[in-house]
Amino acid sequence: MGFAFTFRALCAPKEGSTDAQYEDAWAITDAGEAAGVITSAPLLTIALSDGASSAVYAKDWAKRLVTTFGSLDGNVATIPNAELATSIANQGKEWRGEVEGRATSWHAQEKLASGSAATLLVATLDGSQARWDAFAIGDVCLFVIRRGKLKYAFPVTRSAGFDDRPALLSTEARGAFPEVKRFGASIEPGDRFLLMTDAMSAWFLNAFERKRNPWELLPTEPDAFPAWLQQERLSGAMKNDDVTLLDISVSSA
Amino acid sequence: MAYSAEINRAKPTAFFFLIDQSGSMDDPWGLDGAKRKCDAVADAINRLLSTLVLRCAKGEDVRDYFQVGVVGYGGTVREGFNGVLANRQFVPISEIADNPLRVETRTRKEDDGAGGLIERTIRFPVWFEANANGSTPMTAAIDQIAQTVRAWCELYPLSYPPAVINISDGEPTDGKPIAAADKLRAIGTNDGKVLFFNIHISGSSKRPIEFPDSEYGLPDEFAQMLFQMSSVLPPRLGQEAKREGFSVSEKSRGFAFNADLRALIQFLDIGTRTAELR
Repeated sequence: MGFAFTFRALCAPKEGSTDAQYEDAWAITDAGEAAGVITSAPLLTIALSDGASSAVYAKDWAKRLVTTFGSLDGNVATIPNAELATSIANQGKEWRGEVEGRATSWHAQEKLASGSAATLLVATLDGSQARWDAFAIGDVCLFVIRRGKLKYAFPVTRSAGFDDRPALLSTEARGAFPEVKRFGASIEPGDRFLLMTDAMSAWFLNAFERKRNPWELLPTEPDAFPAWLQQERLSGAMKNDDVTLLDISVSSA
Repeated sequence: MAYSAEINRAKPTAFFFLIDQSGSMDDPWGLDGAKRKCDAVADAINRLLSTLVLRCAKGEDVRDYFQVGVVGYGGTVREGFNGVLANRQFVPISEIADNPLRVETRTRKEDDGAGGLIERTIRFPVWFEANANGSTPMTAAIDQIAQTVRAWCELYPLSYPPAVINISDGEPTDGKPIAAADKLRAIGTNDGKVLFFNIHISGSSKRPIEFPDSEYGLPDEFAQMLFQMSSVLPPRLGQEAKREGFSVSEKSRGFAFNADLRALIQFLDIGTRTAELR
């Protein structure tokens, strides 16, 4: 049995920032556009990253992370910690080589010395095994909806679990590697995977805790997303931050 | 809830520093007396300004989350910036970033992540120069900054309230500034009253008193007066102080007495911490 994955990606920068200042990044295996159907590969890897707002060139770091993990072969989400740390260290050096020339002022050069940071979640959906695995550093979240119910929430399970100090992947290979959380479970046709960065994840869990089905509150049309988002931010239901939603539905191929 | 306004470019916050530049600041500071008090304070202010710039820096862009004013008082009261920024009552952080008087190169020891220390060359921009001459017109300085702060709050009525930090090594020579401090602390924005923090520096070998919550245990009337002039720490700053290892309560004030250089740097750092910048 194989699966077909129908996906869409909705993104928006924080209110007051431009699209160029949006610092989330995402990648899905074989996906070139923001929506589509993938049936070609039994393994689908999804990577979502949120560049730290206090860090320099965080957008470039987040993009590098998701591009790298989104293009690897095999069950990327089960990569062992030692290999993950080596990969991150190498990517950190490549990031520095890429951005170093851009820093000309004293403050850009000074800040560059501290490197950049981002959260990251990588999930691999294995159609041949009917199983998904994921690892996460920080508070990017994955939710699985099955038969109208929230089946899994990873790695944060309560709206109170978000703060302004999540674990972060640094470009600088110094000190202890951050905590890597891991989880995995079965896939069934009809499952819906929702991956989102922290502001939207907190909104999602908050709505769930109030006995609502937040997956039913999401806009169905991409064009409706900006207005929907503005409403949620103005009402105070969602923090003003960059927002990314990856929405993947699983069906039998 | 007070002190909860989001800090962003449309609603920046502000920090004002009142710096004692009286004659006694020329005295050496600390057990080794290697630096004069005025030099050490100038270094601490410049270091803090650099930190505030870096907090707002994203690549080459510096986002105007903060505005900063500096006033020196020694004999007379005067705006503290020189050069391009001279005579400005408050300056957006991006203009501060672009206009240091000079950028020095200094070395700093840092943790190398493997149990050792490495020396790193850092860029040390200088905006504020040391000065030490004359009496201590603290009351006049507080009156002057109150006018500036009032004007600022009228421009930014929805912002997180400004913090005013007064650094001094001794008693004022122009009367008791308690009434002036009360007037300053009565000014505010929709989000709360202006925060007025006071730090007294000295070369005394006595342990510094940091963030006390009552006058009990303060050594003299001067310390008690500075305590009365100081604002209670808002909850977030109280948490930051706790995180740094200080013992604080709900009534702890932004006040330190007999502070050494380490305590000054920490006090300035905690006093200017904010929620995540958006």
